[in-house]
Amino acid sequence: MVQLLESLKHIEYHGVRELARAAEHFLKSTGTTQEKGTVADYPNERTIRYYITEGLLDQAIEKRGVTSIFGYDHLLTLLVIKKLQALNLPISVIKDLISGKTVEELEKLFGEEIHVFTDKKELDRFRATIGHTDDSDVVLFDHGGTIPSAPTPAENEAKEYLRSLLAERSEKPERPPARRPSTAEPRLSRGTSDWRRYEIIPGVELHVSRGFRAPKDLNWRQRVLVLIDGILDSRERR
Amino acid sequence: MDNKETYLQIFMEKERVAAYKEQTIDVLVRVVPPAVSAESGERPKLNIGIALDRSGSMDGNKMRQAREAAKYCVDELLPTDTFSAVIFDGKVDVLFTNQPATNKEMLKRGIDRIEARGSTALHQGWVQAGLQVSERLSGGGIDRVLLITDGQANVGETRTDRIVQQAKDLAERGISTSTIGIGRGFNEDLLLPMAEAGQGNAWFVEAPQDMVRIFETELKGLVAQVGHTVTLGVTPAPGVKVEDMLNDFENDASGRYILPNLRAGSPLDVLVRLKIPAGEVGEALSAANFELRYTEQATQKLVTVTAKAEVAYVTAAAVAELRTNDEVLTTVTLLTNARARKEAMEYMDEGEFDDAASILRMVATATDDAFAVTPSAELKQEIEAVRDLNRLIADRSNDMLTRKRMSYERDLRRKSR
Repeated sequence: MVQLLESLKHIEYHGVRELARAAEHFLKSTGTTQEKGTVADYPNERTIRYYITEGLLDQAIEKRGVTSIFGYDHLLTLLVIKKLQALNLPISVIKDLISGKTVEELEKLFGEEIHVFTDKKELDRFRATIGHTDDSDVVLFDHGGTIPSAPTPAENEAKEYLRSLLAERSEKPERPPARRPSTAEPRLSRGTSDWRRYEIIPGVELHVSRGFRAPKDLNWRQRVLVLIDGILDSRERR
Repeated sequence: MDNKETYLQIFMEKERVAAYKEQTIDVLVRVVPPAVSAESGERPKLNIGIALDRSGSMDGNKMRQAREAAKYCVDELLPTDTFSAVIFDGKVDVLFTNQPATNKEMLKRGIDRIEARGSTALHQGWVQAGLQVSERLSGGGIDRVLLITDGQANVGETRTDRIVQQAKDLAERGISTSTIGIGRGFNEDLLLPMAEAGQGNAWFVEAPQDMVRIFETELKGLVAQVGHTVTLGVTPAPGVKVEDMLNDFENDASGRYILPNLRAGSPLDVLVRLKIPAGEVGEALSAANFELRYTEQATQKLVTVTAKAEVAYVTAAAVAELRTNDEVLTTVTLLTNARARKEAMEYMDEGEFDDAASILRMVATATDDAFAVTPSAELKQEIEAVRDLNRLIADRSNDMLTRKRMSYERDLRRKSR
């Protein structure tokens, strides 16, 4: 998993949608899913906007035109949030756990096995069985003795959620920047006169329009590979 | 017996099963919440947000009845409860921001001024009503949007799956949604799933004069709510398989069935069909474990209740002597009929009215047969309902009404309501 993360360090994500897709792709390819049905398995555009509003996720690195640019820090934080949500931790606890963490600390949090106990005795029993007595890895939260299975109303996630629905309505769709690979479903071309076909491996062909010049930008090329990977993945699932 | 805690009661199709053969058995899991009446105990605090459709089609009697129902709701609230109302047509207006239900006369005067006009921005009306409810969350009480409409969402977000998903998302964040569809022009394929996903109730008001009664039932249900976020886990023993769950409740991500909210005094029947392996005469098998999990309304604590389904193998001849359990037979009939209604609706949607009618005739026969064995009050009521449906589908006088009745009757039977 660490190697996989390493390969993502220099990728930029153009817009919330691309960030959501990258996180989903990563979680699917590593088999990290949520066990409980209270929170979506994968982050979507709306939840990402919500995390930004809540201060769990930093604002975009920069704006290029109307497009927000996100980076590795964002993806990593998002992966950590989903991992902690999969343990049924409420947003307020997750916020405490990740705030002020460096990239290295977040990577450690993402890579490590985490156990959640709602009872101190359970924790002690667990530590006795594995012979672990070092307190440095234990984080204590006081939630009146219980960690709620769903977000408590006091956190008022409801209001934020409804506001995000209204914000979504009023927001204009992001315009894709020039020369950016499309994130839409691949279109099948009719006729072959303007296209060249290259067999990459048996069973997989690449069709390239005659006038097309691929940018030298490595980020761009990496995104194309991620897109192809996504297409092959979605075919597998069908 | 008046119980203080929720418990599970298990009814087996027959007390014993035949040895030496693999077979399918029906197990009824009855969830029995405490029987305390709402009046005797302290009721949860209510935070109600009404989203009322005032589009042009609501004009006349429908609007009059909706106003009466909203005023009834205000009258029933305690000063510790909170109330808000938004009205929507093509656009949405906040009629009352969220406030304690203290000045009831002022609230009712405001409701009286609502007039019908324009188109139906259903989604936005619902969102705004939710926002009002979110302004003063009850903290352990019940926070609910009541969406009242007679039309189809035709302004703003109109995609059913999106709206249903959002109702689910909002319920997970503490605000539930009930829907009240009036007349024949609304979209039951939106309002029913929206209420189910929104952990509320779906009501069908056929005649406007039923409106106040529906509000009364909804409010009684709210004050009687003893548990929410209810799921049932079924763990079959090795060699045993869950073949079917006749209520067709959805599963959550961990495979548990998502059940409706628990109400005091209203048991909920869940029917699980198990395939069990062959056994020797005299052998006993603990076929499955059931684990109910819910959040208790009064304390907001997670509660877990368990029960076991146990079978004992005897000779086939001994089993033939045994009577089928009445409760199981009644429940199986009602739930099978609920499924048949869905099937009939699907035929209607394809224009195959003869096939739909033929299914309903079979339902009538099956219900009569069950009644002959178990003359229960529920089955008697079901016979009446099925007879009405048969009449409606035969004369084709109002297909939209027939479909709505079928949808809502199916929903009620699945939830033992």
